[in-house]
Amino acid sequence: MFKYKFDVLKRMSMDDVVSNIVDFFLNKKVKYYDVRLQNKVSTNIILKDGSVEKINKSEDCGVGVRVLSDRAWGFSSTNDTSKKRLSEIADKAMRMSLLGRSEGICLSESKTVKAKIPMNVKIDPREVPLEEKISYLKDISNNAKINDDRIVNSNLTYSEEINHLQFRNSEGSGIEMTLPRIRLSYSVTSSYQGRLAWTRDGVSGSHGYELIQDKRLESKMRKVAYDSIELLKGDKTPAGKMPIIMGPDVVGLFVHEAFGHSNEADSILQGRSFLKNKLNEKIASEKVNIVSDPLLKEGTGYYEYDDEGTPARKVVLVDHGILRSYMHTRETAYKFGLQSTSNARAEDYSFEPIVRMNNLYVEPGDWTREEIIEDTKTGIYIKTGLGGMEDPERGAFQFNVNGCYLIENGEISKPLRNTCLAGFSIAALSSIDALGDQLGNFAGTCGKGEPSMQMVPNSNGGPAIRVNDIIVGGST
Amino acid sequence: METELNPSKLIDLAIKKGADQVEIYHLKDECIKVQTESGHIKTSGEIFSDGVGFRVLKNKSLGFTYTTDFRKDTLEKTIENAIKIAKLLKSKKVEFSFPKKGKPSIVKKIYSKELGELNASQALELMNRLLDAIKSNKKNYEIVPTYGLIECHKTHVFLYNSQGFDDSYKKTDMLGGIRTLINKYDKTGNGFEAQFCSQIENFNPENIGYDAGKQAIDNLESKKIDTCKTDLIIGPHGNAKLFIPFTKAIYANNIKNKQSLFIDKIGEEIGSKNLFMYDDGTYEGGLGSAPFDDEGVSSKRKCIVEGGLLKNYLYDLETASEAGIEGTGNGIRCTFYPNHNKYKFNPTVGVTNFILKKGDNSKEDLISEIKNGVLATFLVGDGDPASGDFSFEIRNGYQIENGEIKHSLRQASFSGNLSETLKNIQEIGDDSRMTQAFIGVGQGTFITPSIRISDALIVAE
Repeated sequence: MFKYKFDVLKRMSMDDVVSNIVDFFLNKKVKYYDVRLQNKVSTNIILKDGSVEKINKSEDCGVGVRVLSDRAWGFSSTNDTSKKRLSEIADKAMRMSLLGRSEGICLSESKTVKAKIPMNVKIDPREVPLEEKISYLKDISNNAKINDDRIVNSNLTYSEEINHLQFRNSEGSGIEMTLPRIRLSYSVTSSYQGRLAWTRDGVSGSHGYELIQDKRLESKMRKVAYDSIELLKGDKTPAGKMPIIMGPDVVGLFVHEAFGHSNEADSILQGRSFLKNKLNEKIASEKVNIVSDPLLKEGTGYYEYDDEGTPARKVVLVDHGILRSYMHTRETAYKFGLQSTSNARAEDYSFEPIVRMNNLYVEPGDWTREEIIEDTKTGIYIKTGLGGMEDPERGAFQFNVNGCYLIENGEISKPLRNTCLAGFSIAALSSIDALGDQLGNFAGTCGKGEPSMQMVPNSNGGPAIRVNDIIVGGST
Repeated sequence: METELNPSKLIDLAIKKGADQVEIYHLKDECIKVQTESGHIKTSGEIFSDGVGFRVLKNKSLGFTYTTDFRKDTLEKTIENAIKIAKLLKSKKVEFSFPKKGKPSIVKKIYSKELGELNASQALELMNRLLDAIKSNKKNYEIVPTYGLIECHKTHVFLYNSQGFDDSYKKTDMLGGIRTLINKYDKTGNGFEAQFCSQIENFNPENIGYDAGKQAIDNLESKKIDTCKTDLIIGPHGNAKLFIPFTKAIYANNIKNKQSLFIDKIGEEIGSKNLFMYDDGTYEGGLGSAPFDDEGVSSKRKCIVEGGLLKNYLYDLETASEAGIEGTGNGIRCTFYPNHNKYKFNPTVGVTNFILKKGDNSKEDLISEIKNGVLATFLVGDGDPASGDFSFEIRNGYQIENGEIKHSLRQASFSGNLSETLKNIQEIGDDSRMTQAFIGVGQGTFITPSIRISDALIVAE
């Protein structure tokens, strides 16, 4: 068997790990450095047709060090918290920062912060035994079950994550923060005469175990099953331009892909966004407000400080149709002469923070969803977004959607088959003429940086909205 | 890394605590990364990752856990959690055993000493060569390299199990990619080119830079196309994306879960007669090559499609045991690139290196035979393995007229169904390239040449 060099580690507390790196920089001349230490414990449980299919339990820990010189950034990370390796990565990050040849990277000003943010939940999910969680999930899955031969399978996925983060920088900030994330999603596939239909729903947020103890969950899950069966009757979806009423899930996909990525300041600086040079210009209907809000606990992109230690704040990106802000890190904010919008995030300690979305949503209006439908002579109501792609340079998008229903004379008349939506972001955003009064937020995981991806949890949403300038791809 | 991971002691402990079988997958990775923004080196980094995944079998149920904390008590707690999970999963039975050590397959050129020892300054030099090559495009445009990345990995994988398996291998891989942009008056032109390889001598920064620059120049003068059914040539990069839904449809777990259009289709004609496809975990220099898969099954070359006939599905240990056959060496811990954290994933069915056998004609020959058609070198999108329906945006497309490339296409997509499209593959080029493609767990290494498809539906914007 492979022979390991076997050393007994001296157990080090998280504070000691950070202090070791801070000590390394005591007599070093660097423009800026920061240290991020992370310990994450997570549990995932998947039930298929009410039986446990998969359980994952894991623990991640590690530390990342970032150093800024007059030339560029240096970065190094490890999950080996031995004293020797900690000094080594601090040294590497420092040396690496001297290799680059940037046009002088500077950071926007940020106040020095000392903060300790404990986890604020009613029930700490770590304290609920695994057996109890499984038993509860089985119960709700079985109670939600409906007897119908057309149901092929149902999947219930539960995930919890407790992230303990420590941050220190050369400006004297020191932050300790524990973030919970919990998510329960339910999907049902049904089949009849060679046709398949699939639909889903769920709850998520930066809460404790109490989130999933809501008794209303069972009826929500039953509705998923009934919807799946109803969608089997889906008629051919018409093609062409027509009013589309997007449910909150589709609005989330729309705002994330058709606007969010293009609003990230690094895309703007790279010239890769249709929103470049559009600040203070009208890009949406005056009824539309779009916000980035990391303080929204209902979102899985919740945090109190971002990964550069900037206090989290709600930022109005679009105010009554006018583009008012991009999303920034301290580095991009400096280039615009602004302050960071607290959008610096890293997948984990092994990646450097970049501009990312957190909780992005369209603010609610004053229509009820029913009023919007009643006000629509002919159109399509779409409940679920499946995924899509965008062309940020040109502001074009295409999404696949599911859970479509025809609206005729102000009423939902029949289900339709899956289809796709395509259009141009500014034209579509400018054609929004009705916004519902109920905000819905949906958890997602966003990838950025292809071909080498960083994945971060986030949420996207809004109320039901009516969009008029969008093309429906139809179906056969 | 200083470690308290002692595999034999941990296996003994797990057996003592009630496990029937135990597996330890340990991955160490060192990564050098250089990123550029607007043509300047912005960040250089060196990243060390180390993680261990445990699987245990207890009363025919499987438990999985992982950790990156190598302290003795955490390792012991993590493996004990795997036993606990196996007990909780008692309703889900699996029939397989972890494999005994077989004869490891011989794989060549998966480790490059030169790449393994590459330092950040050398990576930076490669990046500078790549950036310089953009300027070798002769036309007088200001091409901005908006974002660039060179990332090199040296990975060491160790696999042990209680059945006596004890082996390890080293791998290297690297990627270099660049996005380019030209702004001229009110027009913009975009380009993107990337290369993945396991040997540094195969890495060609000059080609990447030149091609990314050329694409941006071509794209500047792009024109719209009307919706039509036409001849379509898809280049090697594009085919990597097109074949992702295909590979998902031949995964045995998707066959079992009725998420495939190829259920009960073994032996049947699913594509044109010139189609030969393989999954080959032993492919020389392949990014998906290794002596054994992520479960310890020796890597193999398997025929998937022979002369248009579907020959095999791909199996991990679990699906192979259900089918009563041996594992095909396709138990993969799937993740996105970079896969320095594969230990976080329970193995499932995946491709190693997917190979579409190349033909005799050059891409130029394929183009010269087309009177009116489209060339797509890069696709973005996805398909559904259950229905076979797909929709891809053509990110880098050209109009072909009378056997020649006329101009770049502004915006169009390619939609269709796999069963028809595979039968409409008329010709296969000789220009195979290796790339990594990503869409969820469908990611993997694809070695594909250009193909010509007839009756392809090109949808205008």
